[in-house]
Amino acid sequence: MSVYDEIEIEDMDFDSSTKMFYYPCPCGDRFQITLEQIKNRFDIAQCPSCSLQIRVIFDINSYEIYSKIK
Amino acid sequence: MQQQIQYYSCGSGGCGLLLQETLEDLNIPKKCQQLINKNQNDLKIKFSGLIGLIKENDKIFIYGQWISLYTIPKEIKQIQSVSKFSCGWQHCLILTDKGLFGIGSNKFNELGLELKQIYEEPQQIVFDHTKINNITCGFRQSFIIQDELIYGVGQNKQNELNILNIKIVEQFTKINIQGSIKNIKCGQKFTLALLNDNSLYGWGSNSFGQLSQESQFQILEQKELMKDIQDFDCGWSHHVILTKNGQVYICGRGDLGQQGDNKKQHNYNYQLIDLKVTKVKCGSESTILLNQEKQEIFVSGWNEHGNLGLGHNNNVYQFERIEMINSIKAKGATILLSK
Repeated sequence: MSVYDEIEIEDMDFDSSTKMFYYPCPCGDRFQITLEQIKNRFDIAQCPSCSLQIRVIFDINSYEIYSKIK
Repeated sequence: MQQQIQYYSCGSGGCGLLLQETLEDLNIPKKCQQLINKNQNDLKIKFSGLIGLIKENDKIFIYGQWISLYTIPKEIKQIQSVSKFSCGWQHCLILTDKGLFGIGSNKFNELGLELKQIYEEPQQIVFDHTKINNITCGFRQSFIIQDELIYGVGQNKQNELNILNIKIVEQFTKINIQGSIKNIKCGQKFTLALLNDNSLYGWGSNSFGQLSQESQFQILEQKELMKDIQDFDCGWSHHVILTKNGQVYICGRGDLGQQGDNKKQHNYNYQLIDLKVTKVKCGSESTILLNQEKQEIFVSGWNEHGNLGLGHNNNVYQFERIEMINSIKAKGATILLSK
């Protein structure tokens, strides 16, 4: 599957209240992926307004690090 | 008699940047309904991915999305006597005779403020505002240009600020650049600077060839790209230039038609475009060339939101011409034009 870009998880904007990661989409909306999806090793973030998708780069410790953020 | 300006918009509507009554995408330019009561000749408008600013005489208005969604431009009452302003992807800077102010996201320190949060109200930025010539906001960066000095702040992972070995620059920091700078524009992960001698320099990521270098040079320090520049603009991962002798060149990402050469390939060196134009513009993944004398534009690139104004949503891989257009502004997946 072809993705628009690959983005490291540290460059995403993490909202600890909703447990969501966001990254700007070139359309103005935001690519999004949940912490739960990261836990399950799912790495594709989708823009709700577009067909574009990005691959999120993270490692096995990422879930643990972000799940501790209040 | 002065010609009456009428603004039209099309493209991605979800963030309220079309200045229309609904948030729907538009693929044919439509009169901006939210500006109809204003004398549009008096307006100065700038926008980018999520937010826009409108200067009307002494007043400044904000629209788009940062914490709330503002489809109707809202006056920023705390700020008057604006001299310069610039919009980044999710933040903006406003210069007045009272000081320098920032609004919007500081999550990547793009405003140089202390807290990593989104500011809904304008915040004064500690900087000697009397010596500022120009301000530029980028994707997650901001720049202040003085006579001989330039300061930058924000994300620097790909050397977007030309400050080595630091991922995020937290406060406005002097950038070591040779030459005096007239203007700066930013892509997603790269930066272009026009010097007062009209030479163009670039630095940052070259992963798609957006700095016109072969692909083995992934991250670049300041490098001269071209002399005798008339006009230039940056997309997210491509850029376009117009030289003083009228030649147009594009380089960088091309899979969505950004290069207009019908090849769907990235160009790691400048490619000459055989069109006569007077201004060059980029959306995030599109390219727009304007010929002011003939009142025509040429568009190519990503068009999923109808942002090329052609009446459809298919990507365009070769430049297509649209008539009867006076001027155009493009950012993200939105265009604002006047007829």
